[in-house]
Amino acid sequence: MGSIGQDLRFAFRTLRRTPGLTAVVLVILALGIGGTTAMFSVVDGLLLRDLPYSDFRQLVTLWRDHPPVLVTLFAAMGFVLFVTCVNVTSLLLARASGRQTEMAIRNAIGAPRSRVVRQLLIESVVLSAISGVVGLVVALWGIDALVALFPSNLASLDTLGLGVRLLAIAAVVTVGTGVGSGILPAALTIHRADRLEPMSILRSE
Amino acid sequence: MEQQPIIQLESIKKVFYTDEVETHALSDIHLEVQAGEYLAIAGPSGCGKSTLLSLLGLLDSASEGSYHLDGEPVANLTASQRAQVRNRQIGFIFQAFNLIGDLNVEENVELPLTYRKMPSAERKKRVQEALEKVGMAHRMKHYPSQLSGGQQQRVAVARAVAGEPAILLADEPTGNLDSKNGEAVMELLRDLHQSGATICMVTHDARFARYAERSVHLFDGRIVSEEEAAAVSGEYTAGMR
Repeated sequence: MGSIGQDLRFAFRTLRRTPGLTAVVLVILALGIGGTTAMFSVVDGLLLRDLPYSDFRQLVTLWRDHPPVLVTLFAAMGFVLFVTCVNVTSLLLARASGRQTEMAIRNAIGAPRSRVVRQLLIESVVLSAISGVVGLVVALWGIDALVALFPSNLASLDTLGLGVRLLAIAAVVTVGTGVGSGILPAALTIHRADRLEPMSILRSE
Repeated sequence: MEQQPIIQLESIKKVFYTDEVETHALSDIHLEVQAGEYLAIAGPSGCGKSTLLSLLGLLDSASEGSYHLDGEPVANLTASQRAQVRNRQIGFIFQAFNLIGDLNVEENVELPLTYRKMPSAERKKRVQEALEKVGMAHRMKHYPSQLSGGQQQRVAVARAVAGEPAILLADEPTGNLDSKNGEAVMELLRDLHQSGATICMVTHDARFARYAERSVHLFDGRIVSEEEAAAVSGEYTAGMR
């Protein structure tokens, strides 16, 4: 646990050292997480959740007759999340290329690959966790905006808002985005470290 | 019964290939280092000193020949096994100190120990002892950027010794220091050696090579001479000041 605590402390310090990059990543992630969470919440409220009617099963057949709507909405959510991950991944890759010396030092003192990967993933999950909190606010705005597009007499939309279900959706999206955007930079950092001559980096400082 | 050397290199060869050029960085290196010995590897720039240190520290592999570390062959170890050996048996001291800037002194020294799954209390104890050994315990919460070069190198020495490695590999440890701090670091290495550490130090500075018990001289990738050196006496260091 102590070493995870150290990885967490180090993650926060690393993010603080590059405030501009960190801010850009946080904004992209917050919008991505917030947008996806909002869309999923509305889809969940309209199409997935049991409707608040006594004979709701008959109503459920309506969307079963129109599966493309569900597919389209899920595709849109996937696309938003994908674009978010691609943007954040490219920024994290740029940052990783400036950390060769640190990786060479960790390599020289015997860091197992799994620990380096864990360190890098913790950094991206910390970023997405902070963004997830901001993303919740974005999601609440997004839900209001999306709900306004539907007829106001839809009872299922009344239940949407901040609750356990929304928090659970946001948490899953946040962790997924953190791992999804961090895994490629982590793998590439390890790959680069294997190909470099550590001594030439460690001597060049 | 003869003691088994802690480092044993036989017929080591290192060749680098770049496009159509073949560079022989090391040729026919035979070297034995006994436990508790202090060895200096000296020679001019480009003679293969750092390549040899890379091989000794398992940061690179030889093209030919065999390397036994503490009696075990290390040529065929996987990358993760090599990392584990580096972590447990080798302590590095670099010319550029190579502390991690976002970690404070205590965390830098503790870092290699965290890779061992060592209990936190044991890690803290070792960090405290190592920093006391180098006289830096009072700077535990400082960051590298808040320390002088000499202090950073002391912390780097503490990081190297905290894990109680079988050998210490020092790559021009005084190269980035002024003469006063350089001497202080050399005295520190001598103290560590006197308390039982095995040290291999790369240097191009003849003054500092004399701190070692034995020197091997490299030229064009070959060991061209070897000499036993009397340990530097107080008179010698006084004469250098």
